[in-house]
Amino acid sequence: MDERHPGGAGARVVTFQRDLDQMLREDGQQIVLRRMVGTANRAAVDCTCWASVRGYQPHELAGAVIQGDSEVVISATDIIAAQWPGGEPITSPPSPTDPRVPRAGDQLVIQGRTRAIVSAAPIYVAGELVRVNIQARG
Amino acid sequence: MAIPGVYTLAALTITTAITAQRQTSITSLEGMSRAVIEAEFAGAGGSTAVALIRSRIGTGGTWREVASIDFSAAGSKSCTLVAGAAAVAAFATLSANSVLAGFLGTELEAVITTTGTWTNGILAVRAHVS
Repeated sequence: MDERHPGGAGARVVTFQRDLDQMLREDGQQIVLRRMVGTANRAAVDCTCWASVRGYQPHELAGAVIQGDSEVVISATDIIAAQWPGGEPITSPPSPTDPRVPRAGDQLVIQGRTRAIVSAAPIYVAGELVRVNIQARG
Repeated sequence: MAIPGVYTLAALTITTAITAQRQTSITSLEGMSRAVIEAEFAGAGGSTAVALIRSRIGTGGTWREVASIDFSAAGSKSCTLVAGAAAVAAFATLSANSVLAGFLGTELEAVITTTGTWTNGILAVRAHVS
């Protein structure tokens, strides 16, 4: 039995999510998560999220992480509430990837500046999407 | 889910013909009494593009057509769906650019059909739900 979460996995998810949401609202900022559709003609699918944005430390600059990149942490709460990215074509079999997780090519608008998502790492607790760590560039 | 809120029912590129392609639904819209639908279509060279909006009550309900938004060229259109009409209305296949008055369930989805081949085609359908 988890002494901190006697309610089991569900309670652990709620606690984790609540703590993350509170931290982002107290110390973070609102950004826009954006998926663009089309090339010459374009449409945006936006979701306003609370986020923590920070530059990488010098010792973290390795591999695909370059100077000027930022690490952005967002909670799944805003994505789930907005049901972002909205309706997508139903495929059979269903896509194995979680459509709620941002992907390379999506964008973030941070303080009015549009930045590209290089990669996004989802974090699940007890099978529930609770957080996404994003590497942003530009 | 958040009511009022803005939800994307569809956002996709249009090239070759699509036949009744369902999009994943927006769910948990309990309390929805009004939905303003906005459809934006861009592209050239094709024939038609139709965004059929459907709603149902609960996940086990039957999808009902509530709006048909039809394009034969680039443009933007909107319609407003309101729950609670006093008259009894029969469910039926909607004609082009028409709505079913009075019915809004707890879920919304878009079903997309296009004909012809569109160059730089996109179709975006959003709903402002309250």
